[in-house]
Amino acid sequence: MSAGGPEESVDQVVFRWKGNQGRRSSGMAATAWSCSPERADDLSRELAPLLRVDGAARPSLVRTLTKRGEAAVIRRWPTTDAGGRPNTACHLLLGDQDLLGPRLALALYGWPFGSQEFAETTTGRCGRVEYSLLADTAKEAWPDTPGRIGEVTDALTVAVAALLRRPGARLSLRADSLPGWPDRNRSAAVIRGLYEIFGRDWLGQPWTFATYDVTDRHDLAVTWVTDWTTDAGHQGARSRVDPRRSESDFAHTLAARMVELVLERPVRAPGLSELHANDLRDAATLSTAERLRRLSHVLGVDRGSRPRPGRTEPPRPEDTRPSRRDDDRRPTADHRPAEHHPLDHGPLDHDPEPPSPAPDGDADRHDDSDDRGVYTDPPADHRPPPSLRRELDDPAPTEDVLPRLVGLSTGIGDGPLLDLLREEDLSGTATKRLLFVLCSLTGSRTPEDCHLLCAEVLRQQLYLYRSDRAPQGEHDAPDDQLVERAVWLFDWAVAPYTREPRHEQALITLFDQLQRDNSAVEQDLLRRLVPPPESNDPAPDLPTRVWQRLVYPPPTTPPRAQPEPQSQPPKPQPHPEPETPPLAPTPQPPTSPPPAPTEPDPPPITPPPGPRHATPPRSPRPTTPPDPQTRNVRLVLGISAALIAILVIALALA
Amino acid sequence: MVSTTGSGTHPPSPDDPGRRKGVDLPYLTPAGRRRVAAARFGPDPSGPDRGVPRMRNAMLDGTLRCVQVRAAVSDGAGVTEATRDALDSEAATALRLHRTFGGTEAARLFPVVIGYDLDVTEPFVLYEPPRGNRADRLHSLAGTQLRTIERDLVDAAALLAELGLVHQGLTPSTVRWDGRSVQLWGLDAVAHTGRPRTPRGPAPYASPELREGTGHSDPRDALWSTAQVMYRLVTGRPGDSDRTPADLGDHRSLAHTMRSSFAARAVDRPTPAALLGLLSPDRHAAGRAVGGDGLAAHRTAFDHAVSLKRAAGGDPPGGPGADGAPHGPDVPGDGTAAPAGPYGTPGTAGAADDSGGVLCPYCLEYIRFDPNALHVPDAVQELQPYAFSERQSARLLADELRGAFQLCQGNQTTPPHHIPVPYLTNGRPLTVAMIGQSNTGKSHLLTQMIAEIADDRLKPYGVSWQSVNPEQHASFLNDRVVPLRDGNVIAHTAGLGDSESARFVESLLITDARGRVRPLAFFDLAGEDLLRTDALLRFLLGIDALVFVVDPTLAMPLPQLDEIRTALDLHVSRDGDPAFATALDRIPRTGPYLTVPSAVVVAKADLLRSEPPVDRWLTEPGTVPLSRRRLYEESRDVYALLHRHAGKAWLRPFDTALHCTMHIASATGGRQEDSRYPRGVRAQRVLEPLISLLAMHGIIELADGPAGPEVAR
Repeated sequence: MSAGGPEESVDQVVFRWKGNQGRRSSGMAATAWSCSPERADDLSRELAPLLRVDGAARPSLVRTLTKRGEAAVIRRWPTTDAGGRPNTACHLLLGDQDLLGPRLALALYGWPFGSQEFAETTTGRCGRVEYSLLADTAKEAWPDTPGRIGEVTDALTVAVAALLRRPGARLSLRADSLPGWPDRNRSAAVIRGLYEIFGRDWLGQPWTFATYDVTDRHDLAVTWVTDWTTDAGHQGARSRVDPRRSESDFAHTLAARMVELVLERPVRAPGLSELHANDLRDAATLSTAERLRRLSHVLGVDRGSRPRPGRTEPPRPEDTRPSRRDDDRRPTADHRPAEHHPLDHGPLDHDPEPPSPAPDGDADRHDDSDDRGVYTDPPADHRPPPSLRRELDDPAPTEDVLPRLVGLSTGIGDGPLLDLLREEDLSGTATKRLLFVLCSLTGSRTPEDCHLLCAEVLRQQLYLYRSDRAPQGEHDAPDDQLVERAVWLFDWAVAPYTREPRHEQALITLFDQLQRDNSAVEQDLLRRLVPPPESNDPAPDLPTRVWQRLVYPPPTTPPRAQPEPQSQPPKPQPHPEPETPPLAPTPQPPTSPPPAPTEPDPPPITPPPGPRHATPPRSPRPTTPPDPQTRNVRLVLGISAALIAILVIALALA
Repeated sequence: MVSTTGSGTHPPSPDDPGRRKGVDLPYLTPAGRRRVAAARFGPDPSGPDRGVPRMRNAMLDGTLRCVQVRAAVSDGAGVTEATRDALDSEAATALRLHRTFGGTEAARLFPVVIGYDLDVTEPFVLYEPPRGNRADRLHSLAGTQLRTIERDLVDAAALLAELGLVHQGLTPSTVRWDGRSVQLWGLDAVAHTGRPRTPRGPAPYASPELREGTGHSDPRDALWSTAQVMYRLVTGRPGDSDRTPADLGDHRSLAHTMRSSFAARAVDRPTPAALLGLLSPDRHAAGRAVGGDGLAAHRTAFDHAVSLKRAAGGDPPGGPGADGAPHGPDVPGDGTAAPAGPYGTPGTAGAADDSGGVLCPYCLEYIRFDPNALHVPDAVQELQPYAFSERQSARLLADELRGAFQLCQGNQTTPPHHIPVPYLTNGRPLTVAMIGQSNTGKSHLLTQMIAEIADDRLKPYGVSWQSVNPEQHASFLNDRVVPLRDGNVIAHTAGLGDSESARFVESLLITDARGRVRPLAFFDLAGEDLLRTDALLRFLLGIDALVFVVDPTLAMPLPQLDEIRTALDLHVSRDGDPAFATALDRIPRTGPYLTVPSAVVVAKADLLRSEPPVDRWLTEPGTVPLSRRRLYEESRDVYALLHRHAGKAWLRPFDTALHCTMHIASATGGRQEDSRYPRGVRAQRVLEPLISLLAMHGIIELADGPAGPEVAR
């Protein structure tokens, strides 16, 4: 927030040509301000290159960052100054990056709360702009904006492809390639599409842009121009792209797929969740070939794929409304808290669902800076092979079902498998099979993918409550089997990574829930995961805060229940608290004992190689899902051991 | 270039209702104050419009009778440039006479000006009604009357001569007589003495030389006309057009006083002052006390500034000998050596180092041509490495190199950048920076400079040109020259960011009369940026020449500029241009003087075209080769003008730069209205500052002196 101002508002400054006022100022200068005049003068100097658009024939919008780290959103109008020379009148909003995020800035494209006349005439001190006014304005503008992305799919695809090739480069795009140019400037829609696809951080550069300019020399991530000239000065990395001349390369194919994805689910936290897969989190720093390879892996697009025809019609407004499922208010964990704002990680914060409450007040102390990339909104469109789903759901499996499943899953990456796991209609049996498959693939999983899987398992609370489409939503297996499976899952998918800060809050959430719920299943699982002191089992390797939470549990709260529907949309939060860790979708509590299993558990095949990280041994726990056969083996072994012990004792006594 | 909208109120045309019921007529008083009067006009005189101002009767506010001399729109066409020039000249003369002789007896000899406005569709001057009758309608005048007329006409010619003017339109129709004294009209025909004559005037009243347009204007031109008018009044018939009337001896009085004035050549006639001394010794003595433009004392200040420079080893503006004074012992007389003065060598930029490299204008590091660091623009105009192939034909390779750039690695403070290859391979570059705060006219001036170079206006000096980079030159022409010449106001120069560096906006390869080629590059930064004190202005450390652009609206508190100041919310600054101070402070010097060759240009001079000495210099024909003498005289006049009206702060560039000339220029010739120059754009004397700088660098040899001091070497 600007220095000294109330947090519910942002500063505004008007700039226009003011002539020569001696040494104090010359040319473009601040003529009206809500901040201090000194700050306005500083801004006029710092932002000077952006305040005048020589020869511009149309208004434009700029978002940039100041040296102090504030976001400056500038509306520029071509005008004629008092001297009759073509000039620019500017109205600037200045505030925290989270307040004036890219989404809000783009939603303000029409600048309905200001006017050219205001920028051309206002003088002297003026008031700050209430944030609520901006939010309301953006809210009104919002319904149109995502739909307009569909009008510029070709340009968007080319722009995405360029950023896939060079994520860190500034992007210079030809505005005269846009449909409707010059009567309409749809560049803001393309920028919006880019932001929706790449999210805030993936590109590794701040979201700064100009919807139109006469030069692409400025240090902005995206600039739209109508001409390019050779510039002998230092330019840094810059990609000049004419959407009329797309390159038919693999980057373009992948970009087309990404545009499809964002059009299919446009109103989400910015950034395709696929880009936050373990392999891709830092992909912007990789070589282009490696980046595209990994992206193709996650998107399920191979090099032989052809881009699907772009959508030529904008999606209907209802297409852009957030679905109930998409309304999950979980923040995108890849955002730093200081950059968060509801307008920039959700559908403008106007959806009817309130933000998910933190489990308790301590959660707001959580630094989620390390959560980036693993606690994202659950993606839903990885399109795993249909045959895999058929095999998983096969009610009459053959003995080689698991090897076949492993074979089908090899090479497609975790993304599609995790998506399958998230599908609400996946049966308990299929869940078990899929977890086995994932366990089998552990050896080929990268460390980042391991973290992603860990996060997902914790998010799903070790799949303790995955139903099997039983009419009453009951457990699909006896409690002991559920607990065994959860312990097994914890051992290989979670335990090796418990020391990672990014998982800390999820662990707290899990244990909080297990402590709150007094059912036998939860209590049993808790004892198995955290053995009592009298047990000989080693304690898990947990972070200090998790241990503290286990020792000092939060006050008992009523049993989990359906969240109360909220009739009023939540108010915009100009000052979001530090993001709480992501919470799993609230599961339905079990209401009755789980039914008997409907089919045998997976056969005890050779356990997959364990995770790379050393973990304390948790003997005598199994490392494969226990099943009757396993139990029989254990029984035999136990009896054998007992007999051997008796024999040894007898020999000793003899 | 003028930057405010004109009054926009046009005098009514003959068919306007203003003829019948009056219109509001804004005009400036001789003191420069804006007035608005309800005006009614009489009919225009009949007869064809011959490109001269027309006169008609007018009534202001129902009480003040006057006449309006105006450049009238005729037949739907605009006012011709010649007519507008004539009215400009008329207004400048009328105001000059008013300011010089107002309130004196001499004022009776000339029309009394009431007001004027030159920046409207039909420029005009308002006068009090003429007195008496035209001479061509006079008959049978008494001898005493004739002698008075004769004396008054010679007196008027002598007074004008003292102001450096000559009336070249003196005929029986422009001479009026009220029974007591003459009143001389037709001021549109008053010319500056010393200018090349252009053919004009009817026989026999225009001298043979004037009718033929030979030689230079001379105050004695008016004596031929006076003699012919007097012959007409005495005899009732016109005299001989080429020689002394054969019957002059029959008119003893006329022959006694005017015989020598009938000489066919001006040099054979007496001066007006000498003749006046014969006709009226008393009036002759009085005339001596009147003359001048009020700047004499201020010219003395210039002389003092020059003497200080000369003591420090510098030359007068224009080079040694321009002022006619003997050279000091430390100033080379032949100018062939580099008289940098005792304070070091100026203009190090572009100077070759020992290895043959040149100074990069951006990072100030020496750079040599390196075929392994070449870049050429790709399809999207991004510079990409260029594969230098020895198999290319020499012709093709030369063309490729013409458009190529070389990567300069820069240094710790300047990131890598590119330099056009021709800049590195064509001798020692010469960089020029335009200095002045925002909206002072730098960009318009530079644009017209480049335009005139492109028009081969340096040809008379033996200088030809090519672009350094064809694409950049084409962009400059398309983006700036063409729009401006089409009558459009060009936009401000954009500011640069903190991380950006100054870049030259245009560069040319110039070849001098000796066949030497040098790159010539121009920096034109936004006025805002020229106030910065950070790394951006580091390019000034290597600059070779400076053009300081003075905006008269900021510098001179003349009342006729108040209206513009009000429109732009400007105020006169007695502290000078802060951009001047920034630049002068930034450029290093090793002694009391800055040794970078400099030129000070009073831009937008069209605003002052009625003000001496601007009226003289602005209308100097561009066809006249620049000479050291003229450079000196112009510098002296401009210095005096600024010294009188602007103050010493505005003279700091001249007083600081050891080698400096001062100039008058207008990039557009008129004021804009609604972002256009409705009467077209006409550059006036925009190239002279550059010619002077090129002369200081030894690229141009001026007409009347030895080679200029090659101060940059």
